[in-house]
Amino acid sequence: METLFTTVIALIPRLLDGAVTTVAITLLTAPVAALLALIAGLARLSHVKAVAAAAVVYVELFRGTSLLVQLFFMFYVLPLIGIELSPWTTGIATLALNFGSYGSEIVRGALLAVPRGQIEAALVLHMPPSQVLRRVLLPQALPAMLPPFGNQLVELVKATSLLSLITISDLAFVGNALAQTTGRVTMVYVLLLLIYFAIAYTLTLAVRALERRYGAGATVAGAR
Amino acid sequence: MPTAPDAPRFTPPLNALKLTGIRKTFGGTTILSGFSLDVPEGQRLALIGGSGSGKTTVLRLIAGLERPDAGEIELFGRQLPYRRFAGRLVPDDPPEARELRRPIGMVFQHFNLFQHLTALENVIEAPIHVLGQPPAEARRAALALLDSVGLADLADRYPRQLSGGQQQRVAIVRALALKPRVLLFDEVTASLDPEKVAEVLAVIRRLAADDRVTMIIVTHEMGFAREVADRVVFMQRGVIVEDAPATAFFAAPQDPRSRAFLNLAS
Repeated sequence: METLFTTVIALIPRLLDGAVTTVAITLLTAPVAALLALIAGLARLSHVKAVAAAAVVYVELFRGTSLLVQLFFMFYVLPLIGIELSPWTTGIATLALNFGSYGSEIVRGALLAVPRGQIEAALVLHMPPSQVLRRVLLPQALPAMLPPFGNQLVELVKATSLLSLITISDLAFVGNALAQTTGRVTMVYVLLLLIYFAIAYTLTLAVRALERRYGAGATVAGAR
Repeated sequence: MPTAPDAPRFTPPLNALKLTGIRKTFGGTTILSGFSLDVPEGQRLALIGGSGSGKTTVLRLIAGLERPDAGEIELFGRQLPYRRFAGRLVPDDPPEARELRRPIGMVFQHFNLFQHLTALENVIEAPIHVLGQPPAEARRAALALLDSVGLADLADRYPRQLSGGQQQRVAIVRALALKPRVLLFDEVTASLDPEKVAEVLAVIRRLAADDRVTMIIVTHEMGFAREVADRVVFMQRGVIVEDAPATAFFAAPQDPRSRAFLNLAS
């Protein structure tokens, strides 16, 4: 038991380094992905056919292909045509584009779920379309987006492990390396699972807190 | 025969609204086929008829919430442009069109208060963000209006914390805050509990006493129509069956269909 304990102690700092990278990538990617989701989700509902069509192409392209292949494409093929990006930029951009495409459907669905009467009320108050969107639709659609976005965030944490394949020393990369150099395969992967779970669960709790504050449930709690 | 340019011209009394040859079909069902109606300024017109008679469609067309397949709508002598409904979310609406429609206000059967805003915020939203009124001034005016319908104490409640009758009074105040010259009421008591109907009708009755505002009231409340309206238009299947002064209509409806309707409704 003595040795088990010391091995764990020896592994933890290196794994935590990897965990910090994983969390950093997640937190840098999430806002970019959310922004892309919002833009693409709105674009799909645009009056301008070309804008809506561009959004469809983007969403279907990134939803319909493998994230791993997208990563490899960005990492290995783009340099061939003269676009050199750092592994971090490549990783974050690819993850954001991929998750933004899924997120856009969440945005679109939440906007379409706002009752038609809310839009009509805004129209007979002579609001311009941009204001209807900004002041009536989005404030009511955002709470409905929170739970599915929370889901996406947890998915994102797990998806960052793929970046270990493009040389980023994230948690999965560090774990793999440690398993091979120390031979403590079971131990390393158990710790890896526990750390991923801890990160994901912390984010889940954070999103729940947001939901309690702003979510659809908050409005029910305030009812008579 | 040419007239001298400075000769006095005959100006007909101004129509608040003039609908000419309106046609509207929904998915193959014809709701209105060549509907025409003139509404003089200040008139209180009750638009009555069974469900499916097209009366709500007439209101929605005037408000710009539906687009006619053919025909023209004039507001104070100016032809209203139609909204473009190409998109699925918010119709495309050029600023000139909104400007022309600005004298129109509408109150809905289901209130449609903004769920994320308090009663007061619902009322001041358009004065501040559409008319550009200073917030303090808009609040003062809104509180005075809410007070006039007995809701000053509930200004900070959200719609879900209000009864149906209270929500509908807020919705009326919200429309009034933009000082409309034409008010459209679409079955505003139809989704209220019977005991709440009176409080909403009392508010409209008070509004009707002000004859500068033109009102078109779609309603099933015959007693109310008789009391408030000075003209009744009875519709069936998209056409006007009878158009008469309210007193005459309720005393002795001319068309057998009107008589049948009134017998059923009372």
